[in-house]
Amino acid sequence: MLRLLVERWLIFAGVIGLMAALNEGASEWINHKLALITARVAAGILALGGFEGRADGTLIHSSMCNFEIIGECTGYYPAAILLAAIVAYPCSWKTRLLGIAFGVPAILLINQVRVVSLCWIYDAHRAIFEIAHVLVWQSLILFFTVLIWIIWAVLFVRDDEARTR
Amino acid sequence: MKPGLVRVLKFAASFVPLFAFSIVVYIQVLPSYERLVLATANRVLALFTPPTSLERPPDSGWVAYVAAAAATPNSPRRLTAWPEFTRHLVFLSLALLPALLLATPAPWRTRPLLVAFGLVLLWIVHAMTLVVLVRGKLCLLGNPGSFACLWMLRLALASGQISAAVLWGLLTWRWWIPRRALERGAA
Repeated sequence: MLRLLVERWLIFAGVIGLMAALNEGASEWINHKLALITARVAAGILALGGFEGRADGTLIHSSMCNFEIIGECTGYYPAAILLAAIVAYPCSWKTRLLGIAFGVPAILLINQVRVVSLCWIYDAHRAIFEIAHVLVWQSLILFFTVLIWIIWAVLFVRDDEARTR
Repeated sequence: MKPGLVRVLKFAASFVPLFAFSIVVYIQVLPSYERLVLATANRVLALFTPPTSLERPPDSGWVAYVAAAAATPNSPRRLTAWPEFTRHLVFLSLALLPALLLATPAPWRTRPLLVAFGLVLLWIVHAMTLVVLVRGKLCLLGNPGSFACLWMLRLALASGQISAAVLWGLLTWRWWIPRRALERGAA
């Protein structure tokens, strides 16, 4: 049992390390592209809301805020944590792929909510912007990562294993 | 409703007020906690060659220094500085981890123990993170553009999130992963 636990944690650490290496080594291809998409989608949502949102590369311009989406604002690391946790869990690859296919886009979607809400906080409650940006939302996005993993592990993995038993 | 779903919903519902409370406590204890972590990290940093240290001047972010005797043109006395928000990036797990642990459906008597143990581990992780931050910058100064140094720094800056998830998983996996799933994995 202990050997298996250590093995699972090593898989988790290995995937996180690999994702960090990928982020560093292929930054232009992965994180920059993700930043461009994040900026474009957030600007689109702001435009739909009537806040004159438009994206210029990784910059978001709107009537509420002017932000730059940097590598840390893309939800890459929470998605990497979820991916590592799913891969390390002892279950079938089919169930893992299901978790990744739904979980990773869900994290990226929550990150869009984060970016747009921060834009609003910047405009309406600038005094708490820094805490909301660095502390509250960073923590909340990790909480959602944990929550998605639990939902997958407790509900989907068990159902899947029960069906195949 | 499935029992598993009830546990997940209870976890999510109890996390929200616990996290709000945790943020308030975090803001109060951060200055003292930061002094403790800096003192620990500086003990470790002094063991390396060249010896370095990390300080936090008033109204500023962290500043890393190389010991005066070891300073050279390539590694000057004032090594580098980080913006003030970096401390929240690194220490955010101090607000997040206790809320995650207290919301976990472990027996009530176990939860304070989990928090206490989690905070001790967090203190070690945070001190090590600061050591990696300073040594990573020094590494980058000696090897500009080095992939390994950049990787080390990137991981250290993301450690606020990663450490909360890892420690929470390490301390609470038994309440989420059924034993038979692990046994199945071993088979």
